[in-house]
Amino acid sequence: MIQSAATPAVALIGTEGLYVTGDDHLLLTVSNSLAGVAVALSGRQLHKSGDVVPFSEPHTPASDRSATTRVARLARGWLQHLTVTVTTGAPIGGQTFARVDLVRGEGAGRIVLATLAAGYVTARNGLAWPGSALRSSIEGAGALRSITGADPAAGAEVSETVPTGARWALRALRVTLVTDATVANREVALTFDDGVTVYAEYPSSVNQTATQSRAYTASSAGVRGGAATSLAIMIATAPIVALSGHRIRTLTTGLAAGDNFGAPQLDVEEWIEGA
Amino acid sequence: MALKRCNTCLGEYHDPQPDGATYFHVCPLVTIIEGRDAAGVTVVGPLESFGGSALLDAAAVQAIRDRGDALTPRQLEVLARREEPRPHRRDEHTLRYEGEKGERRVLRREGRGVTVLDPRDAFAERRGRAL
Repeated sequence: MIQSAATPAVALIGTEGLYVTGDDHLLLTVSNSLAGVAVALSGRQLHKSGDVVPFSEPHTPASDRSATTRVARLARGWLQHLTVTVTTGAPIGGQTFARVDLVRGEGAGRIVLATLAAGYVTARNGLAWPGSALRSSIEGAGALRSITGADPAAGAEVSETVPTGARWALRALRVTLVTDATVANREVALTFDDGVTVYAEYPSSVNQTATQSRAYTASSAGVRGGAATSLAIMIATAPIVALSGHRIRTLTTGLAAGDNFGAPQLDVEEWIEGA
Repeated sequence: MALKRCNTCLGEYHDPQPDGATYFHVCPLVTIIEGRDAAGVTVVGPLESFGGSALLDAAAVQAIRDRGDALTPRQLEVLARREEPRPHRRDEHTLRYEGEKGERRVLRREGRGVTVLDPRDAFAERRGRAL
């Protein structure tokens, strides 16, 4: 500690902090998929006056995975530490991604000087600087989700679109098809496309005829062998990872106007894309 | 927070989802049928509009002809199927936010809107138990 006869100079207390000027501030960016979530960017700063001043900036992100931001203004001094915590809601891993940057400037002229923290936050685990490792939003395990898709009208195929800002790995999909009295063989296939072009198509191994109700399960578990007498039909798929805007659809040869798919139930692993 | 029906495609969906995430409905493609009726007239239209017809593939039509029979007025020989973007389709993904604080979410495509079939959040109790 350096001292002069007249005025003691301020010394760092504890470990070194990050020196910031009045032109620097913290930028919190959150991408979130769960409704009702709020977070807070909190921390402490050692001012040149010797005061240790806490700060806490609340932030309510959107729930459509779009990036929303909040600025925490800093005074000249040393940033001691910061945390990002969930204050409302209960997101699980893979649903709420936060990043804290040290920036200078505003808007298009903003300069990112350093990324201090980046990772998913949950109701029980926040981010901390120093301490938390910087993570990519597509790194590690995603959020396991059970999704009830749209129940299409008669004569329409099942179609689920990977939401904007999401990346999906389809683990399983189950859907029922009730066929009308039209005499025809229906062959249900599960397709994946990029919004325009189909890049994978997995047909079922068993046809469905008129006036039947069958439950289709698509997964990478394989197909049933031998005489299939129960009501379950399996579709073997590869473990596909689909990007935003990609579609998971049925494509049914011989689909009749009165044939009716039920609401598909999807088991997916989801990550926030590009956060 | 409800069970909704899309007024364009009549698909029904829950929003929010069981896990609390928002569901962004997008209308499925429409299957277009090109067929030939008993009079030999080519007809084209969405599959959903052929509810009163029996759609037959080539093998079924050939079997009828092999018996020396003709198609009935209700039967339609399917010549081709294709899928097209649905007219007036709805896409609930975000186009942009408007308003002083960005409080209004503008959808990519409104389509013909939605009808709320049940305003209750069907999964709220299940999510509460999970917490």
